[in-house]
Amino acid sequence: MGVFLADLAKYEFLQHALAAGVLAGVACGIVGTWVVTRRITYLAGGIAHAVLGGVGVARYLQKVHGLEWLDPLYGALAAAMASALLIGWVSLRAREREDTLISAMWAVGMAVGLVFISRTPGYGEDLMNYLFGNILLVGKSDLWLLAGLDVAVLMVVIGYYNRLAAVSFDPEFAGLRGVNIAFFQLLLLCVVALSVVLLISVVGIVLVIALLAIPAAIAGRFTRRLWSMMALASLLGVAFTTGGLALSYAPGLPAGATTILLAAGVYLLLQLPAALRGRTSRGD
Amino acid sequence: MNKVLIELDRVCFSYPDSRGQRGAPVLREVSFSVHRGEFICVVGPNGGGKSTLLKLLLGLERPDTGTVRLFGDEPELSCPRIGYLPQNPQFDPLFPVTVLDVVLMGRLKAGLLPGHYRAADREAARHALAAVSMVDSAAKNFAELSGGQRQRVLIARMIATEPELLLLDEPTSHLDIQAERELYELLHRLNERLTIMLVSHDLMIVSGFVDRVMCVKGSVDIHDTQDVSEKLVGELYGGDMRLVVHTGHEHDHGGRD
Repeated sequence: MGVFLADLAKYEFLQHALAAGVLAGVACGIVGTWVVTRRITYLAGGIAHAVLGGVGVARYLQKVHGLEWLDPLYGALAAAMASALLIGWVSLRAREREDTLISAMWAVGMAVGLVFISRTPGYGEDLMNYLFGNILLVGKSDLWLLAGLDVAVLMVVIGYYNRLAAVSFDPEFAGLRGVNIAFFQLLLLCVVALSVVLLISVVGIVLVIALLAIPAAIAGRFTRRLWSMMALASLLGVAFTTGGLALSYAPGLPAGATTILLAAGVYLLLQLPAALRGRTSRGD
Repeated sequence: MNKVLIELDRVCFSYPDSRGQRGAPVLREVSFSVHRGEFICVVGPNGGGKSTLLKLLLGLERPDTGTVRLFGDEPELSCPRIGYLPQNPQFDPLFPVTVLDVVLMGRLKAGLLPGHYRAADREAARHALAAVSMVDSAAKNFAELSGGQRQRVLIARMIATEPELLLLDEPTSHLDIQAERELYELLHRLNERLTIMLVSHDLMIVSGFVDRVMCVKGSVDIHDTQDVSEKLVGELYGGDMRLVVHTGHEHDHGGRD
């Protein structure tokens, strides 16, 4: 921890990493609250994995066809939005089984990504960074983009808090009150997609669901309103990303994985008393 | 006072089958009108079309033929003036909302402009909670409440929308007798300024405060409450006759003694 603090003062890349962790932590708490209360973690996982398709295509065009401006992050954004809108549209229109569609999208996105990344020089290293994140590689321009995404997520959730809550709690009633349910369902999915992209740069595609689910799940145990759950989950999110970065730095562990293990450890510790109580009361 | 609030003219309705074709008719040639300030009890056998009738009034379903008018308008345009309590509303018991949050949802505005509840909205929500004697529970988690309390909170949410017409679909099906009686007394008080249509699975409700009984069995007949006889009940329910006549008797005794 001492090494981390000493180097934090010295190295810009570490300061960037810390800032990225904080920005991502805020988003994961806010959006994670909706993902958890609406029970759409599987959908969020599907969007996260489909993102690899967009990343792969963007990276390929950038490296092989010289489209320098096409940052993989743009590809990730496009893929996340496209998959969120696709799922939202299908679940609103057709009576298709949603989980089947999400599974297909999940795998197809990854397949597209793998094919394009395999055609791009620097294959292995790239792939590992996207799948598991590398917060130490976040640059200054990335930070601005992350901050922008954070602001967008915050504005939507604060501005439409009441209607998003009503549509999530009782869509039939909200609809009868003249609230455009389809619009707000899709808006929420877009916000989820945005934040998934935000979080991927910190913990990577594979670990994103945990960062969306765990802080919100912990916060849900101690709060009984959406906004307080969002606030506590954000604090926890920031604590986990910062703590994960600090803990992983000196021993050279992967920061994303350490963050997730830290979060999961706290979650389990908090579950333990209740689980033990349940056991003794059953034993009586 | 005698203004017509609901008017159906020769309405026919059927649900589409799995291939999208129109199935057997649920409602046939239904015409009736409901006046402002009435308390109407809707009865009829399961599958007779009671809930379908409410959906037509709410604009959730459209008639195959015929017209539905509320407040002289299309049902879709009248929705904001209607308070609707669905049968068996399903809620995620883990969803983090307080009682006050739920009632405030009655103050939602249509449109896409961002916005928050105002002091007047909170005031209206508290008034609505007071009307159902639930003010003390305002800060409680909605999921912690009993079935009867939840029902009252949902009615408070309905009141908070400041409706002119209440549509309730079997609101007592999960309530104990005490909660049921309290609900009817509450509705009776609300009926002083609101028009009420209540779907009921029993005829216990057919007592002092119901003006007319609407029998829905594919077709719709309306009777004044005092004309509801055992013969009518028998016609309406067919095979279930004994059970229903029995409850009817109980009611009759209670009414005369």
